[in-house]
Amino acid sequence: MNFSDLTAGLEAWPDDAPSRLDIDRLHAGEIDGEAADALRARIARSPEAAAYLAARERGFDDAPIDPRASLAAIRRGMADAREARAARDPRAVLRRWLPLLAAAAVGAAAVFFFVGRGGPPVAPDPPIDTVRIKGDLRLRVFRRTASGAEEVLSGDPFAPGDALRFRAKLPEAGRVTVVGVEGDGTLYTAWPPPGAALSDRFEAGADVQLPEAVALDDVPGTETLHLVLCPDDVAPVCASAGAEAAPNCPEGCRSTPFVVRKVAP
Amino acid sequence: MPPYSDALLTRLFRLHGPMVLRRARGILGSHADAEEAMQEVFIKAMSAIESARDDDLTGWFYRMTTNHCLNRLRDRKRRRQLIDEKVAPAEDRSTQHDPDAMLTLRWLLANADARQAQVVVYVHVDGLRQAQVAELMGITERSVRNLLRRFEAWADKQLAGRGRRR
Repeated sequence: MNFSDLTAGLEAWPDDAPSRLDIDRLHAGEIDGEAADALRARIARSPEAAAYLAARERGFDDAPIDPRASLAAIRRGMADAREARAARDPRAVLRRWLPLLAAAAVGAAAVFFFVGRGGPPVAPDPPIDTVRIKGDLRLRVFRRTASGAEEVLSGDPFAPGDALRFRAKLPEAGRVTVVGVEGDGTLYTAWPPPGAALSDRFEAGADVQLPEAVALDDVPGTETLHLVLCPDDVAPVCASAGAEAAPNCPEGCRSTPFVVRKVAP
Repeated sequence: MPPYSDALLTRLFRLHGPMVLRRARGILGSHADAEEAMQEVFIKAMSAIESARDDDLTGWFYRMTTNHCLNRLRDRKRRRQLIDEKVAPAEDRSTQHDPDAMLTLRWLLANADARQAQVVVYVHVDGLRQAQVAELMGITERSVRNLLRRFEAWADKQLAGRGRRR
């Protein structure tokens, strides 16, 4: 056997298809404008490329791992790395005292602030995204918790009744809605919340907050939220195309899915 | 890129994690190793995130994943494990690669020159064209061709040697 024989047993990516690297870059929003449109057209002509992009858009849904556990392990690793760096630093002893001093100062400031202002602490909004606006539409979902808000990933379990807030990456300005498609294909409007007098028009932005929280209903099961972005002159009104499909929205609108698994508490 | 924050980690993990995991599985062959490698890549990446260009994070994660996984393959314990895997290379069935061919390729990558191994991963595991490999590695296409040629000549000798030992 020589090396040529060996490579004959390896998967060949089609010559005329865009590379996985290009598709990964498109998915990450690093390719935009005409280049992105041209790439999307080439992807549409290649079943392999289209399947790869679809898999990328599903995120961790197909992965045989628990992404939350992995993320927790990375956070622990980052904390360990910081500790190890601190321990090697000759100023480590001094630094060990600094948090105590800082905590005392913050505590004193907090007492002054809250006693003076007379109000409970307000849970902070999630941090503002500083990454530039490029590429595809994206929906981020935050669950309200006792201490603030935590970001949840597509496919994560949700409790019926969870209060959610949405943030969106909007590559261009337009009118926005979030629709939910239940397991039986029923479509409902998740955002704007019913009865809320909110503007659905937003400027382009990497991290646009959709105001007001929405509550999930109390029916367990899997449903898909779709963030829909339509041009300014098109009302974002969509119809269900079935449980597994993207909704039918007016021409010119784009959507991106987010899977919600509602499990009984 | 902005400095490390938990929100940035969460966002980048969600965006690039599945790609890092898929590539790590392609190079290392096992889900468990790939998951561990993905976590280690993110710890390294987030420790150096301020040096990354925000318009080429995908390429940055590609390079980091490739180098990290090749280091894992070179690890001594890992080399012994490669022999054990000969008995059960079943996890590779998630890709279209022939499991035996991948097992032999991993053995070669574990022992090859680091630059040559990187080029081979991009060309033969990822299926990238030489021009794209050149751009990714910041070298010329001619250098990519030379590295590939040198690896192939070296690999042919290794494979002939393995054939004779059997």
